[in-house]
Amino acid sequence: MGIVELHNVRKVYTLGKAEVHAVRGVTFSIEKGDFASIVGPSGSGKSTILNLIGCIDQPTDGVVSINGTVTQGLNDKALTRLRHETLGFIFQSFNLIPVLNVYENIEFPLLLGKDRPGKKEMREWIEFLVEAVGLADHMHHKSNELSGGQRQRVAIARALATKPQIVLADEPTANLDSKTGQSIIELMKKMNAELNTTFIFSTHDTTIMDIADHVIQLLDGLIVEDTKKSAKVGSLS
Amino acid sequence: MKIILTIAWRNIRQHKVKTLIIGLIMVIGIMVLVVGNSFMDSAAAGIEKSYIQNYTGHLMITGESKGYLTLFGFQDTTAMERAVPRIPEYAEIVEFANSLPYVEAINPQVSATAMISRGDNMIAATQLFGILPEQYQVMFPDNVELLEGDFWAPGEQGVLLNKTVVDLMEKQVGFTFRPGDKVLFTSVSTLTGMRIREVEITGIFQFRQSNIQLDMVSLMDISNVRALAGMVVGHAAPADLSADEQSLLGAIDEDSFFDSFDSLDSLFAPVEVEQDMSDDDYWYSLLGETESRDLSNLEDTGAWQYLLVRLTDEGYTRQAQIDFAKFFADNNTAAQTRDWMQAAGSMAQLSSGIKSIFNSVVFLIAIVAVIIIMNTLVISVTERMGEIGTMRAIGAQKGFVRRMVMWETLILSGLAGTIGILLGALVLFFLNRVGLEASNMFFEIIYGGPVLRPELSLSSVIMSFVVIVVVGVVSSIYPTSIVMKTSPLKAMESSR
Repeated sequence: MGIVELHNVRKVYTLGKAEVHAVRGVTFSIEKGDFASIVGPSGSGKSTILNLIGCIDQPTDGVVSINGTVTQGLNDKALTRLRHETLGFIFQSFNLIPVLNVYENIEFPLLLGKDRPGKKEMREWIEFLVEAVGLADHMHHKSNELSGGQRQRVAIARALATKPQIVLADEPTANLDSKTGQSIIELMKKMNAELNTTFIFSTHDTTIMDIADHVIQLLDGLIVEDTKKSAKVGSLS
Repeated sequence: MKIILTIAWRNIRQHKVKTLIIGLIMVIGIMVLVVGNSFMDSAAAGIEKSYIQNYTGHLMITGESKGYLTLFGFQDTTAMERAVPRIPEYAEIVEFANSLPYVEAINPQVSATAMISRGDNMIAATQLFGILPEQYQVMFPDNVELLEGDFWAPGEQGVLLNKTVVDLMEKQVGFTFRPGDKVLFTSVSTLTGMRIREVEITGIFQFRQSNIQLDMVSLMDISNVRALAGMVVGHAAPADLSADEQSLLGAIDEDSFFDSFDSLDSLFAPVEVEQDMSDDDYWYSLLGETESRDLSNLEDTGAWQYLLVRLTDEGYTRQAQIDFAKFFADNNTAAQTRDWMQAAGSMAQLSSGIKSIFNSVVFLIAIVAVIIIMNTLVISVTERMGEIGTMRAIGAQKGFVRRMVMWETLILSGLAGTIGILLGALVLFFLNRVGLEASNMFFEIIYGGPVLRPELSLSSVIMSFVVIVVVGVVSSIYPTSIVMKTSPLKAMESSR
């Protein structure tokens, strides 16, 4: 059983009187520890699928299961708890909290839950993450004092702070130059290998998708190819 | 909690324009509130102190009556229709009052309004307080400043005219009034008819702390005031007759008065005089018996309208009211107590009325402030949708973001409130040092005297904090509801 499973998922948005079928019946499974990439052109449904996996949107039809929990029917509180405990988020525009510095941004998710680690343990873990993303010298810098690449590194560290099973990244390199983007993907890959955290990221950059060991290609809300590095697992579901 | 306060505080510092707009509105609002209310409180405290010390004492005991009864008589629409009731069982009440350990002094009074005339000319009106000088001066030792003459001697009669009244009289007639002069006092009432007394002026005085109402008050011996107030043995209120009693009297109409005259000629018929006109008995019989008239002029000694009570400490006021009420109930006495403010009448209530108007204006301003602050907060949270969405996405519950916005407003309100109070205190300190002189009679009434030195009042500080917290909470309700509805999707949308 995969850590993320989507079964015949559909998502329809209503825009005025028109209906937009963003996802038209998608079924796939992502295993624990996968470095998965959801690829496709704009409007193919990448972000919608990422939102559904991230429990920040609900499918119109079908089943979304995250780490064995079916998300349908959960109330806002339960969904928020699921996000906090199971998922980490990396955004296209980094989305750091501007009034907090690097250390505090990474610490932030740790302060939200009820089961918080001890102060010493928390500090050591954050310092480890800061070290791991190469920002030890910028620990007390605010986000507006950092470059785009540095901000995304902070975002990666923040996403990993709660030791989530899954990290979702919505086009994490879109706002970065290619060299920085490459280094960010490599950092994500490194964390994936070291912490065995499942990474799922959307991208339309073909060079980046090559690093992924599981690629799901979308077109017009349908999967056109679902490939694992070792073997092709299906197509046109 | 610490992270909420950290984010809230840093957001306040980060968004300087928003902070400045909201902060300034709150600082100015609170400063006005503190200064205004402290000003009013100081004036009210001045008026209260002045009245209690000089005119009313802490409590006023009167006969039981409905309506707005003051030391100056009824001050409502029924004033002309009824007399101020006498205090029943006066001696027992005095005895009881003197037995209470917290009663420091008592003073009985009677009140009447009279026109003053010299010869055929009505020249002024005055409010008369009928008093016993020795007891009055014990009760209010510092309120009278004698300008000429003195109180009348014990057992004698006389009037101490207020200087303002004397000035008015002198302006009317063009010559001066001095102790030893006699003037006529006339009171008119629908209940007691017209009563005239000639009284000698024994002195001219002014109250040390006065106002437009008190400037018209003169002090007179109790006998004459009782007479002018119609408090005489023979006086009785109009009798209420039952239907049967009315029928016994028979129907009376205008014609019945003239029925006995067959014609006008009878009026001019010659009268035969048989008795000797030099006989005194003849004249007495012609004038009729005078017993009723004499009785109607006989003073009802021992009758009082008011018993003013000064307590050893203001804190006993409630206790005294309870004790007196119990005494009246136990003895079935139709009397009641009224507090100093009611005793003082409309002038003393003017300042509390003005305070109410002031606070109504403040309330309206507060509504406008809430709208402006709310609008600014809405813009602020709308700008931060992405940030709030991000927090929600990474695990912040709705309550977290609600508390964050709430604390942001509360911290800002608290800071602005504190600055506003400090600035208000500074303004009050300055005004206290300088002193506000009343430029006219109106301000003298409001100030409770010729100069007001306002002091920062605790109630105004507490009220200001309550207002600022309420304004802060109310104005953050709508922005908070926006925040609560913010979906984590906003994080994704703002990110693209």
